[in-house]
Amino acid sequence: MSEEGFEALADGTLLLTVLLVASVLVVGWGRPLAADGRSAGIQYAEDTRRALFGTTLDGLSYRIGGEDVAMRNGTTVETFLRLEVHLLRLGPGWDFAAANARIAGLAAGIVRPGWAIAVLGGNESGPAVVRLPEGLRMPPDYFASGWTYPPLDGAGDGTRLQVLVWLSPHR
Amino acid sequence: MYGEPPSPETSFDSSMRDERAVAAVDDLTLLLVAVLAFSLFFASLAGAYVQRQAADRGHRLQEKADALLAAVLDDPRWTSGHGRLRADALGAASGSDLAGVAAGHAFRVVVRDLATNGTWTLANGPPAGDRRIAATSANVIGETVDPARVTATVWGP
Repeated sequence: MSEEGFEALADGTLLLTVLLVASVLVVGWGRPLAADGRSAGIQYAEDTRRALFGTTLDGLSYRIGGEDVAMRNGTTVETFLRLEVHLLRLGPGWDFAAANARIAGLAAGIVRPGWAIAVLGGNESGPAVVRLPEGLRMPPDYFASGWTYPPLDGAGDGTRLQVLVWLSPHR
Repeated sequence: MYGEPPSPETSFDSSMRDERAVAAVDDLTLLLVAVLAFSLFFASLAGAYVQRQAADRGHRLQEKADALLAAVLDDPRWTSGHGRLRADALGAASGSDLAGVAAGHAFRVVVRDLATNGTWTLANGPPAGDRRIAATSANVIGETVDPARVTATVWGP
């Protein structure tokens, strides 16, 4: 190969390199940016919390000392959970298992397929005393929406109710 | 006196090259490299453009679906607050009430009462092309307040 030939080959290699780099940049530009789903997830948690807490149920009850205490028909989930947290704060002996199971079932049905949900309730500054569904292991990442209510008896900490939702592909 | 004539010289110098041929081979090599490089570049450019256009189109459709969902959840004609849909008013609603939000795209909004399995559908236009879906939770208010799921689907080219 002549000297000019080597120069031509070097030019060609340089051109190839430059255009390869340009191609990679162009492909990177063409790739769509991953959508930030955080705001949509938080909004979904908020909508789900409002829908769940606003739902009314008939025939809710709890047990104390072997006796059933019936709530009036049309009690919202929100009202019941506030009362449950309030009563649990007073001491042990309350049995909310049946009502909790109903609310957990309702919550599970309200989220879109592929999503899971948990409901937490407790003192404003303390750990959750109500966890629905019971025994649920929380994932590290979730979207949460909560609300803090004044205490029912006007004394002590407020009540914090939260709804957590997360993508659960195995569901 | 009449012997065989001397044979002509048939040997030649094997290292001798035609300079024009060598230059032509060099040019050809360069041309091939250039064609390869430019082909790669323009193919990437075209592919990226198509991908970008498809993503933008999908993004616009998703925005339409989100806007449609928000309009359903907040329209005072059939709600009494965000996400609180009145069952009696939903029955009187139609797809044309939301046509402006969909901006000419075909759409379908389905409100499903999860307690009674009652369903209200607001639709406009025949489904065609790509589609995007937005869904969320809400309440349907009748004699009781029931949980509901609202799903908005938008189609577009």
